[in-house]
Amino acid sequence: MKVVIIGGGSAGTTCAFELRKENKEIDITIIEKTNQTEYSPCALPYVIGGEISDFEKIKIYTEKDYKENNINLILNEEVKEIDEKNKKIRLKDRELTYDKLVIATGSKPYIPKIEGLTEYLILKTVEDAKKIEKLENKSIIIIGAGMIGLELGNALLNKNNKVIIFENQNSILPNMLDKDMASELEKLLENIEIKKEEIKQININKLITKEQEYYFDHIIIACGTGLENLNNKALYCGDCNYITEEITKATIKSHLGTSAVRQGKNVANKILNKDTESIPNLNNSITKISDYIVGSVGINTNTAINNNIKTISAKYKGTITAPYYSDEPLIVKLIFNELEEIIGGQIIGKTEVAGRLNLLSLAITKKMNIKDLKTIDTCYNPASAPIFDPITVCAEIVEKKVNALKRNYNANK
Amino acid sequence: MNFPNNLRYNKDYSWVKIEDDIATIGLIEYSAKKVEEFVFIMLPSVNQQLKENDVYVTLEAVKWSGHLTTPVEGEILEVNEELFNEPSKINEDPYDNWIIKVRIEKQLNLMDTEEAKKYYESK
Repeated sequence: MKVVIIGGGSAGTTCAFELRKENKEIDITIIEKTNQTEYSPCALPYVIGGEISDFEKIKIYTEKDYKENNINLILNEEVKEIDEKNKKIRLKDRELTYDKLVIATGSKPYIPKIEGLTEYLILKTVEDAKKIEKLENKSIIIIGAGMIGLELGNALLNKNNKVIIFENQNSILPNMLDKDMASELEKLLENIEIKKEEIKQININKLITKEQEYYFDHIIIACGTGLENLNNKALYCGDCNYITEEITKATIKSHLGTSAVRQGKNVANKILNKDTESIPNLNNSITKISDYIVGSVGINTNTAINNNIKTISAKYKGTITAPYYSDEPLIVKLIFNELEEIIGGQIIGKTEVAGRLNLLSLAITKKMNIKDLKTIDTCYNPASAPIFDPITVCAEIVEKKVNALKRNYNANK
Repeated sequence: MNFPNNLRYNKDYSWVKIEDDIATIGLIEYSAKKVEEFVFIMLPSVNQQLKENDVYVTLEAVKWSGHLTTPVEGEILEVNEELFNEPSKINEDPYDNWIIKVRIEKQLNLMDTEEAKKYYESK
């Protein structure tokens, strides 16, 4: 069997290595349009900021690894045409035949329509990152305060640049956080300048809003990714694919590393006619900006409202350890539906964030309710964890709110 | 201690802003900044009639809770429902985040700025 995989990123490469692990005979070819073997694109901002010393470190496989695993790797080539009828793909000066075609071409950055926006940088590939890495002592404007915008903003501040980030949704990390959590984070990220002004136009090196004019040397667009067409008869995986979000059952763009890798494995299993595991997709995301880690699992309040899901939630500002050991904050927000089942969680803190979010992810999948979360038997030691975990305290607050609303309802009746 | 001149105060940690026969009521800064952040608020209902010594709100932090008695008698006209989801706004800015508005039937031993300062400083 001949498998051709278009796209050598996380999804495509995982698919190739998974196939090889299970079957030594299959003829596997990856076609990648850049000159890069698989690396971790999510790590690019941290190389730019110097937290990771160089781009070589974020490589997952070298060309030698592909060779040793008998995977044909074609770099620097783009697919010109897919001939589904004859199961052929055409490259610049040759053709390849296939039995199974996998498309893992990733996403394309979304470029907003702004009058006068002609020259800009984006962060998508190692080449893009290398251009941004060179910026020092410059005035830089980043459009978009999502994960990449904020990660990049912080990275560029490390290099003595003056950075202003513009966000038009009135709140940072709008796809991840509720507004109240976003403003908590904004207070903690005091060194990053964020403007929520509407951009009117760009005039050479000047960005003009309704309120003010801002001069810049470079402008970086970080407004998320645009939509792709999935018209070919092929197996799709990674960022070019759509997935079903578990809670709302909405079709959303897959844009996260874990999801890409899992889809790559699933496609390999499909090709091998093995059972594929259905993995609930909670659109979990996490990032580290400056000293703070922030993440979310499940859906936020806005998404719930847009899907007609009634919510009851609470936010609680606890501490990472016992407060007398260290008063580093750990801010938790829990969101429940009408059945009092958890549907979303958001956490901010310097450490101890990912583990708690994973716990909430499991709780969402298992449809745990307020009482389940309120009564988790948590660990305690003053230097490691507070006596009441912020999650259990937060669940307790939600329970009080639910009871208060029930009492009010009964009183009104 | 910040007790703005345009407000009146009772001895149970509430401020009152009187405009004609309407009283806007909240928690004084002295208390709001002293305790940890509020995590829960039990608000009263609109139309409820408040008499002397009636509690109009219950505020809870994780290790503390308090009931505030009303500084005026009268009918509750409005409740700041926003606080139900973000009670900690009271800690952030207690004079901006009012709790209820009441149609005044009787004022209950209110103090001015100087009297309030003296009273709370001696506590």
